[in-house]
Parts: sequence; structure tokens; C-alpha cells
Amino acid sequence: MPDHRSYQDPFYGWTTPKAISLCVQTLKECSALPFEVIQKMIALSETQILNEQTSTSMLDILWKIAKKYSISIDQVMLIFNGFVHVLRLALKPPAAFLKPDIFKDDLRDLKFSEQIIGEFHNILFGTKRDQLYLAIQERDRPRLPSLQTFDWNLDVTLTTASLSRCIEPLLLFQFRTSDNRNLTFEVSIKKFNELRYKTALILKEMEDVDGKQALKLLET
Amino acid sequence: MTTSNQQLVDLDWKFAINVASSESDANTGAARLYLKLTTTSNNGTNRTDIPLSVTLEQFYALVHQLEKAKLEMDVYA
Repeated sequence: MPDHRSYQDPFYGWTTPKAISLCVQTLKECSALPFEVIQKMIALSETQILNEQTSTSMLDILWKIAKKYSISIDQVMLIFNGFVHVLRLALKPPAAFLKPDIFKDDLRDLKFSEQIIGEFHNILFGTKRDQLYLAIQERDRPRLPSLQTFDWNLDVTLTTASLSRCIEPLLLFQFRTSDNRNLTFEVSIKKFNELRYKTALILKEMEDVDGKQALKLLET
Repeated sequence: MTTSNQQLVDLDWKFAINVASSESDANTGAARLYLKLTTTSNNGTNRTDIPLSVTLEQFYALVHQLEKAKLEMDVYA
């Protein structure tokens, strides 16, 4: 088996990112820090990515760590920042690309201790793996508002101000988007049939795109 | 009640019966009135359309208020 370094770039890029090298350096300086605290900070960086706690409560926890073990808050922040960076960079390549041993080897190249490498491995390939990837995919990119609900109402117009006895169908759509906009509009029967045709066309095109070889994910 | 510079110019209406809906079938057969009030500002520019949709009950309440206003106006006209 050829060494993975010959065909796959390390997940953190071609050179060690400054945040990570500072983190490793600070960890050496604070070698008195017990491993449980480091474990706690790695778990905290996972919640940071999943956005499960507010930033003020996380800052409180970091301050408490700094006070309890008498290190400056700057050093705590450097270590925490480095951990979050490692996780974010590890989540960047597609999920199937970064295999566990390659991940661990890359972390060894970054000069993290074996215990920390074990922790990172447990987080990235642990129970919350899908949630982490989903969080990065869905939240951390610029998006337009999306459609939340779509309601329709089919009425039959009996009389209007200008016509009596005009039995005509009346189709109303109501779109509710994720930015709280409520769009209500009428749809003529002709436009409705065009909409049906275009939806069927989109579905067919999506199936065709799925079948194309070039867009399939390549596994190493 | 605030007075704005808009004056009512036209009131268009449409009377319809619900036949189907994306929500449950509880509403089928219910009658509704679709109103469109057209207002314009004092100097004739700036026409605005106000679309409304009222159920029969709400429409009867509206008519009741308008008839009350009409009676008062007839006393002083």
C-alpha cells in the first residue's frame, strides 16, 4: 500500500495553518494542563461548530478554565481556536475522502499528542458525525430564503361586480418563505398547466443529471 | 382613527365558493368574497390596490357597519 501522502494532500492544506501551529505551541507551554480539561475543550469546539451553545456561555466556560488552572485567557483562546480550526478543516473534504488512519496520520504530522488525536478521532467519526457535516453544509454558506409552506385554494367564482353567472375556477397559491414573507397570488388555469409541465421537465432533467458519470463522487 | 390622503375610487368584488384546498376538506362549500379597493391620493397620482378576502360572516359585519354609517349620513345630509 503506497503511503497516503503520495496521492492525497493532508486535510489541513499544504502548510500548517498558523492557528494550529500556535495551538500546538501553546499546548506545550501549558503542559501542566490535565488531559480532562483538554478533552473538555475539544468537546466544546464540537458544540461550537454545531452552534448548540451561545457564545457568551462558551466564553464563560473558557474564562473558568483560565482561572482554575491559572493560565491567561489568551492561551486558552489560542488552544480553543486551534481545536475549532482542526475540526473545520477536517470537515471540509467530502465525508468519504478523509479516512480515519489518514486523519490520524495528518494529525501526527501536526505534532498533536496521541491522546488528543484519539479525542479528535472520536469526535469526527463518532455519533455526531452526520450532524457535523450537515451543519457545515446547510448553515455555513450564503443562502437565499427557501420555501417553507405552500398552500393552495381552489374556488369557483359565481358572480363578480361586472358579470353575473360566470362559473369560473379561481386558483390561489400562498407561499411562505423562510424569511417570514407571505406571498399570495392567483394562478390562471393556463399558467397552472405550464407550471405542471415545467415541474415535470425539471424532475426529468434532475434524473438525467444524476445519471451522468462526471458528477458521481470519486472514491480513492 | 388616522386620516390619510387616500380616497376610495373603486370597489371591485368577486363572489366564490371553495371547491378544494391544500388544507383539510373542512372548508369545502364555504363561500367567500374577494374585494379589491382602489384608492388614490388627493391629486390623482399614486393609485393603490388593496385586495381583501372576507368570509360571509365578516362580510355581513362589514355591510352592517356601512349601513350604520349610511343612516348617520342620511340624518345630516
